[in-house]
Amino acid sequence: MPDKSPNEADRLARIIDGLGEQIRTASDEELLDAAREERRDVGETSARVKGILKHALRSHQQVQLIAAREGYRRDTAAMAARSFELPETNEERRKLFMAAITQLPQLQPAFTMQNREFKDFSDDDIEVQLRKMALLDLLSGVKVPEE
Amino acid sequence: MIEPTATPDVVLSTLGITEPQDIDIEAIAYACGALITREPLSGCEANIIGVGDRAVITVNSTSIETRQRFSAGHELGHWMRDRGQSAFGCSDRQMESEWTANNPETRANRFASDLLLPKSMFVPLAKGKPITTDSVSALAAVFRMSRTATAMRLVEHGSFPAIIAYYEAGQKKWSIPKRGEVPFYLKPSDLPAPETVTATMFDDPSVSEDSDEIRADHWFTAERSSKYYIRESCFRAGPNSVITLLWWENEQQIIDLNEAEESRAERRSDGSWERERE
Repeated sequence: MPDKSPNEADRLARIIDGLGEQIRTASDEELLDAAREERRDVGETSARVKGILKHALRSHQQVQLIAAREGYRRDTAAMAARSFELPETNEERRKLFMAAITQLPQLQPAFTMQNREFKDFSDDDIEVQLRKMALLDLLSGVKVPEE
Repeated sequence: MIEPTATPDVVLSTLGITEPQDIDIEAIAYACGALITREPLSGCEANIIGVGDRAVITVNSTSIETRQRFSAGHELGHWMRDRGQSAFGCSDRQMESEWTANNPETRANRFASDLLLPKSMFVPLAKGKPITTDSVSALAAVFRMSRTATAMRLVEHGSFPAIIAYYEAGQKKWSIPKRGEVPFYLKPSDLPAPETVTATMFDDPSVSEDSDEIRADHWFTAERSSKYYIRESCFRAGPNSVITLLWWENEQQIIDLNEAEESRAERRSDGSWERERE
């Protein structure tokens, strides 16, 4: 046999509906009188409610921004923790870099600058750029020519 | 992910950004599919490598923070505007000097400026401010941007008629007037006269910024320029380059030039101009 007694959620909903209806239909004067009787500061309450609504609206509008901030933090942390399988010596890394640039010529504009030659790249530069290429899975097909 | 065709305004509104302090370039780029990293780079300010819908932007970590932000916005501009090309590397010179040509660098500069100094947030803060180095510095601090990019914005959206010019090795590279207010033919001279603040700054490399009131004919060849005074405010953009701001606190010269132009146009339309010339 079904239980006909209202559950707690229904009861709470009805109480809130009733309160809402009472507030909605009360005049401004009645509301101000009620606040005064309870010794509440109307200005302070108004500012607090406005603040809550503003914060809620802002949070709602910035859902994607908040997600992007979290995603950025997550990905940069993962990138810092990730180990890339790069050649061990500076010379080998330089060879891999040159092979990547030759075999993926579309990447050259990122590295070629006015008055800058590939030979001018420091060992650190080479390593940084190789890690970026590895992150984008660009190095898997690159073959270092045998000497 | 935000669509690559999105304008800076759309990017900001999609992310609910309405205040300068919320312009978080790392999060914005991430929402557009680009991950910003900071590493020491030699020979360039920033670069971008993109594949498919993912990109990595590397910004030179040894540069000052405002430069890094603009560089990141500039590379993001390449990503959003030139996605067919998979890589760019950009120098500080390109970011300082390429504002007038129609090429990927100019478009990327424009994108960065619209994203990091959005008109909707910039205009209320710039309202009534004189077009000076001090105003530029104050606004640049609010938006955490370079003074050059902020100065461009102040001329574009400020409250006074103004011109911004870029001088390198004592020679003008480009100048941009406030559109719709400064007559198009009013161009600052290619070589600044010795009386100008700009010339003084090239003469004395120890001066980092300066301002003065100056007679307009030291800058312009327009008729009766010697009758008017303008304001000149300058700051150093690089070791051998100066940003010059020329502006009219008293707009009488602009008013007179516009009236003279209208009068000429009227005479042209009724034929009296041709008769006078004969």
